[in-house]
Amino acid sequence: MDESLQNLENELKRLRPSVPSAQLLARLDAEFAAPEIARDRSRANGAEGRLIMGPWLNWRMAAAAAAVVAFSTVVITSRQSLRHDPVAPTTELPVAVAVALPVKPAEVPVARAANLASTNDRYHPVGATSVLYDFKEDSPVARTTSTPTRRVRYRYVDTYTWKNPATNASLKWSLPRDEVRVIPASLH
Amino acid sequence: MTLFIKRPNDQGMEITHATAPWKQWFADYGPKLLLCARQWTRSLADAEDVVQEAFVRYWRHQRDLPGDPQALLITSVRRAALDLARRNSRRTAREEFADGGLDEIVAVFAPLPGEGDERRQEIEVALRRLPSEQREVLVLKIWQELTFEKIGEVLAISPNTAASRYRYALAALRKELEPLCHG
Repeated sequence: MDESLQNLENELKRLRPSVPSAQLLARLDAEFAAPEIARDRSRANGAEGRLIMGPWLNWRMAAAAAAVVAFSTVVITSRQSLRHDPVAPTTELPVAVAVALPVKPAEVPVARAANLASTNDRYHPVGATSVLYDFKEDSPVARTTSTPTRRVRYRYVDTYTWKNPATNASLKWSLPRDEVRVIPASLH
Repeated sequence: MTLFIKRPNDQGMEITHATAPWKQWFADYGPKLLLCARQWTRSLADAEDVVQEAFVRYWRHQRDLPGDPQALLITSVRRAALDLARRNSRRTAREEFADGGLDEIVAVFAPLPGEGDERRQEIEVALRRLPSEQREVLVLKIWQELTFEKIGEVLAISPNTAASRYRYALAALRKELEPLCHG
């Protein structure tokens, strides 16, 4: 680069860019002041979120506990059905027909277990349904007694609902349940 | 030059770009960003909008990112200017952007005392007459003190192209200004 261009370059470098207007600074000031409020809000939301998440986390634990209880119930029910002579259903349900059977929450051990867990979280069980969506009759079962029996597998979806009256938040939890009954068969 | 030098504060402590308040930072480097933005916008108001958008984004989300923050900010300003041009309904985005701005006759440099200010005005007029692609390289080289390599990254051109545009710009300026100097 020749000397004249070098001089021109130096001359240009001596020029200082204009400062931004006061309006721009004011806008930036407002822009950066806003996050403080937003941050406070987000902190509050975070706290609120934690308050909300707390019960949900607890509910996960409660749900896990309830799943164990429900599974145990199914197993125990099945074993009891096998040990004692069960009562046959009075009516047979067509296959693949779903039937909603309302169940009182107090009768459901899952709900009771969850209710205990939810006492501190102010969630209360408000409903439980058990939907039979399938049943299948297995082959006749040979038993030691002389009474012929047949084994029927009922398949349900149990849904439990809890509600927090304070926040109106609700929680629904569904789980599949299989029930096997051994019932006396009448062979004609 | 780097935008993010460490400087001692009054208490003898060092403030880095991560801890310095934005006002101090903007007082030092805002004018240069605004000058950049003026190359890619049609008015001072548009340039300030673009600088605001880019700076806020940088300060909130990007200042802790690795890499060269200066190039990042200038690229951000350029993109914001392009976005603004796209939003503008008067022309198509490409026409707006390639037009290079500076339609508005507003001083882009601080006034100089005495006769020096006349020279400043002459230089500003000569700058406005430069092709936009030469002028933007000149601004990035002289007032942002970027290397040709960095200029190439910001403008998506090769360093050689940036260097040649710079030389053309200086030559054109000299041609414009010499009659005034020596005549």
